[in-house]
Amino acid sequence: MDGEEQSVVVELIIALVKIALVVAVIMVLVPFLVWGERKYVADVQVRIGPNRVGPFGLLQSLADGIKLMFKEDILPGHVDRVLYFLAPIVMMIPALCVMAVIPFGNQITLFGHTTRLVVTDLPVGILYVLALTSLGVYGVVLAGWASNNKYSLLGGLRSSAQMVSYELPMGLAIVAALMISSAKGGEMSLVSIVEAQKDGFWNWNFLWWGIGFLPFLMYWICGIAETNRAPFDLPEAETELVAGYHTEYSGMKFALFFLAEYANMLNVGAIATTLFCGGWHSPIPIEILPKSMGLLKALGPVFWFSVKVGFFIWAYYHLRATLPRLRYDRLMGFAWKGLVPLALVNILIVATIITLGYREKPVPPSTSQRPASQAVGMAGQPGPGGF
Amino acid sequence: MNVANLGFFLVAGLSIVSAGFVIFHPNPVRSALFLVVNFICLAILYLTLNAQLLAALQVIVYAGAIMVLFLFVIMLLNLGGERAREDALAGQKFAGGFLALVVLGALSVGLYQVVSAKETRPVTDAWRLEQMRFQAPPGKEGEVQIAQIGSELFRNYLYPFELTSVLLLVGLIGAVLLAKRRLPEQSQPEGQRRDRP
Repeated sequence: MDGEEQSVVVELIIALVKIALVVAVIMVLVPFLVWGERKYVADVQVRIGPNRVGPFGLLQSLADGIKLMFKEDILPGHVDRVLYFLAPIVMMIPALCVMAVIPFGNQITLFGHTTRLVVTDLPVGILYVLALTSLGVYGVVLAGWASNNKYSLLGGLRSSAQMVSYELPMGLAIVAALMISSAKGGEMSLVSIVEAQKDGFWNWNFLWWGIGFLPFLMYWICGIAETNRAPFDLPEAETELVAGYHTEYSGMKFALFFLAEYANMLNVGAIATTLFCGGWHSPIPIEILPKSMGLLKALGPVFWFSVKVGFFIWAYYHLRATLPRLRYDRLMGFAWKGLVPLALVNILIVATIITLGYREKPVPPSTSQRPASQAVGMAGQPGPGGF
Repeated sequence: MNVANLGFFLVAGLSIVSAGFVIFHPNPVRSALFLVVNFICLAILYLTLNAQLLAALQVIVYAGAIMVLFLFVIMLLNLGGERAREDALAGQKFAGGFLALVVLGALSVGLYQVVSAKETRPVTDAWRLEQMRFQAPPGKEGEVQIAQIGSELFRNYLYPFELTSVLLLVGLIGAVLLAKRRLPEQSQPEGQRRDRP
């Protein structure tokens, strides 16, 4: 094995370790997220919540998971078998794949190998995220249709209309975020977007010129709708639709839907963090730890990233605990008559500010003097008309 | 045959098979799902050509938005059951076969022209794309950059781009007009009724 081959093998091992790490963290985290949600909502409603299994009921979700795993896997007689089996898988795969492009920390050096704390940094990162989230809806739709049951079908119908409707303002909010980011020197890859927001919380995108909070809020609202969470949880509205699209599911298949929902919540929180809240950067750029504490220092960004994602998860809980479910026509009207026009106006304002000459970093004079055909190639720099 | 070629033939074969199922499967929901599979195969083919942007857009627009609406309509109209395939028009099969041959002929002529004209007539779109590829910044050779596609669209292809958007707008207005409910004014007495399109 010569040197080059060896480095390829090392790269492969690093990539596999990162993938395993990300998947493992999600799988371990989800039961605790469920527990946290139950405890928090119980607290808000002046109840106690789970407190029987383990200290503070911490192992409740684990017990539930074991129960789901060993339960009888019921296959109702009236379902479309292939699609019934396929639906939870189709739901789970995009939820996990989105995690691949989210940077959860800065560079880290272990055993002499320096690597970024992201599985892969795609040049079209944010589009990859959009593509996968748009595929996630098939899980819900297929589950609803394959179950061959009117409650499930209604859930599936609702979710397909809801998710397509909210994808549009979500995309427009992301466009605004990308424009802001490109004015600061970012590109479409998520790592570059995070790096464009360094040096303190006043550089984070949601504080940009007092208007960045608008796409931020819009993204957050659409994210809640995309994950089918309260107050937009109409696809599985218990009071009307039994359990919506997963009425006919039991055992591990139901658990997969549950896992995918929480993984999607983590995704939305992580992308909101990356696009608008500075990703792994700490709010105040002060070096507390000395250089000698290398590994601990490298874990600082991971800490800040987790804190921010944790905030969004808390916001999910709190919204669920405090808001009633929307009526269906209000839900659709809000997307098409409220969010879409607002997002378009917001893009117009952001574009105006950028066109009027706002630049975080001064553009090197050579770029503007270059003929247009060459400036086109400089994707790394915020030239006119490109991000 | 190297690995990349093998991958191409696998994905291309899968896309053709799934396209066949789109047409021949009796169940409309399955047909629509095979079309999704086909779109994803096309996206993978774009990826192998280093066109990451096109691949992402293919999945977002076609697989993620349009096909979801197709499924929505199929489910809403409850077309889920299997239907016997019967011709709605007389001579449909022959007309369909003839049109398919026409499309095939047009595509092969176009393909032949592109392949043969590459050396002799350099100013074609394929050549332009190749030029763009050569201008990619160091370290990113071989990728058609997003910014490049954007500036090409808004500089050299602005008219077709804007015309397409007008076309979409026309389609949108037409759909709204066809689908809108009758307005309350139309149920008013004869004398007060206003003419509406």
